[in-house]
Amino acid sequence: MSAPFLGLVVVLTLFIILFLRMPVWIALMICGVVGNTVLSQFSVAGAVAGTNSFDTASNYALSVIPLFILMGEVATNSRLSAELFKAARVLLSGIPGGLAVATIGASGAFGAVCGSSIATAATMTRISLPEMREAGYDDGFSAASVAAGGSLGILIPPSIILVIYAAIAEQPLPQLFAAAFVPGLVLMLLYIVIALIVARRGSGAGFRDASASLRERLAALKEPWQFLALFIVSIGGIYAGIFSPNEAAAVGAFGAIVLGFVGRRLTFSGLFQAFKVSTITSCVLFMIVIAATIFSNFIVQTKLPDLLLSGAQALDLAPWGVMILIIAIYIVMGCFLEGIGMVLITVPVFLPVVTSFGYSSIWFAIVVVVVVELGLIHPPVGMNLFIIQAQAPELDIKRLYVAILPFLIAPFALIALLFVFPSLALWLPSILY
Amino acid sequence: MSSPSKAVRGLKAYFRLLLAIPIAAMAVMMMTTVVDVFLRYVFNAPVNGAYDLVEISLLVSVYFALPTVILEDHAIRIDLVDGFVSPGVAVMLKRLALVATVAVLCFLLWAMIEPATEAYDFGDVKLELGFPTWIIWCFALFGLANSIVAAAVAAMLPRSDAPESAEPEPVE
Repeated sequence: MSAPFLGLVVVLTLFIILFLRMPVWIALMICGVVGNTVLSQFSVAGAVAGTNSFDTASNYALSVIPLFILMGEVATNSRLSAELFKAARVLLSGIPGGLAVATIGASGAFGAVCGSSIATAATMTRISLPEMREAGYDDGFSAASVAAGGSLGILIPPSIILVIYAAIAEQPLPQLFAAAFVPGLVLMLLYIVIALIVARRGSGAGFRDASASLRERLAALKEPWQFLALFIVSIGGIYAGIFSPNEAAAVGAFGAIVLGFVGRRLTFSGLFQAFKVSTITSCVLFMIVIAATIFSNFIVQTKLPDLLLSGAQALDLAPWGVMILIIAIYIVMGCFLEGIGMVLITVPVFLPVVTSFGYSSIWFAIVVVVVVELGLIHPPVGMNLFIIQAQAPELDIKRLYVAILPFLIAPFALIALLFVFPSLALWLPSILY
Repeated sequence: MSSPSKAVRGLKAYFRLLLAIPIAAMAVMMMTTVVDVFLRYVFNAPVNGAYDLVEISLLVSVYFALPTVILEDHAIRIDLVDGFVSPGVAVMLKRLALVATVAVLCFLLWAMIEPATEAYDFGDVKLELGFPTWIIWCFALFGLANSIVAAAVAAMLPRSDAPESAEPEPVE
């Protein structure tokens, strides 16, 4: 059996094992070790696994993962999102569907300190869903707004998935964060436009809040100062070249704790809970990254990307045709696979193909994150939909499936825009670095 | 209460206590970096060994949290198959996953022993702190050994005590 064919067989086996409920890290580890054993020998596979497991878990650059997760957890436990929603609600009062727009805006802003879509969706469900219900909004539309807004958390920096991409693809994290910023804002605007259109056309979705006065609106701008401070210090610090991503994450997490205690919104038990959840979540992620490193080592040795590249060249497709094919594969996989696992499995395979067709690896990272984001809200898996339904069990999931459909246009539109205007992603990194 | 249940409860309590170590390691990681940044920018005097301390804390936070991750079933998996198979088959798949976890962890433990021994033999130390690297390898081995116990316990638990899939981790 040739090495690339072996690679293909192992990748297919990986998918089968994954569908048999095997934890993602165990499945990746088994496939990586067995593959390395077949390609070389068991002792070599052991040496690769032993050293990678140690080196990855003690890699200074990866300390950014637990620290950004901690920052997001502290922000969540400090009810920072509630402040953001309160401010957005006042600012957008008087607009039909204003609460839905406020939800999306607050979710985008919260994503800028949180980095997690699921945490953003879970938090915003608790805060904005009851308010929208009280205001008479349609349940499906309300939940769909939360799901769409929540998905912004993985695109707007700091994005944990971009940190993982940076590690696996050996790309500079500050450039990836800079590249994600404008597309993140564009996606938020697209969601807002869709919410406004649905609110105007849909039944039971277009309620107006009482319009706030100019003074009230200006006063509302002051409310989320903690969020602004955190964002400017941590992410702004990276953009300005003051902090490395690790330093920004540590300072951001520490700043979130200080602001939480100063504002009396964070308790010691809340802080402990934030540390506990961050520790467990980081460990889960690290085991996947360790296993993916071993799996990726095997994939590189099989030269499977070369086989795919020659296959794509044989099809005689234009570069954009190859990209559309890859995106279609991601969208299909997104129906069944969890996002981080999907990135870790596919990036080592697809990235060499993508770059050899002349696309930037930074640009590709943003496209991948948008597609993963799409996977968070499109049926049948749509993790954000389940998160919302888990917190509002009376919500009919089928109704949510229907209500989310208009919002799916936004990520597709953003992908199209990224194709037509790659500078959406590449402009800011080119200015800053 | 039967003695196996007592043993399992004891082990669970032990792993809960063990989780305090990675939590503390994460706090150390954060504070080391913050203090280093502060001293560097304000007094132009960075913390000597901050880089090494963060690396050691990171490794401790990963490997010492692993037993809890396994015992409380926090690992990410795809559970689509649950909708297509009987509950009995689903339970069997869960047990199979735990058995595979034990096997993979045993393999990792074996794979790490040789480089750990080499680190000891060659007297490897961290560059800034001068801390012996073999001790850090021992931290990882200790975490792995505990994780094997945690996975074995989870695999042997009766169905009613078996860890249910935890809430999805907010990672995406």
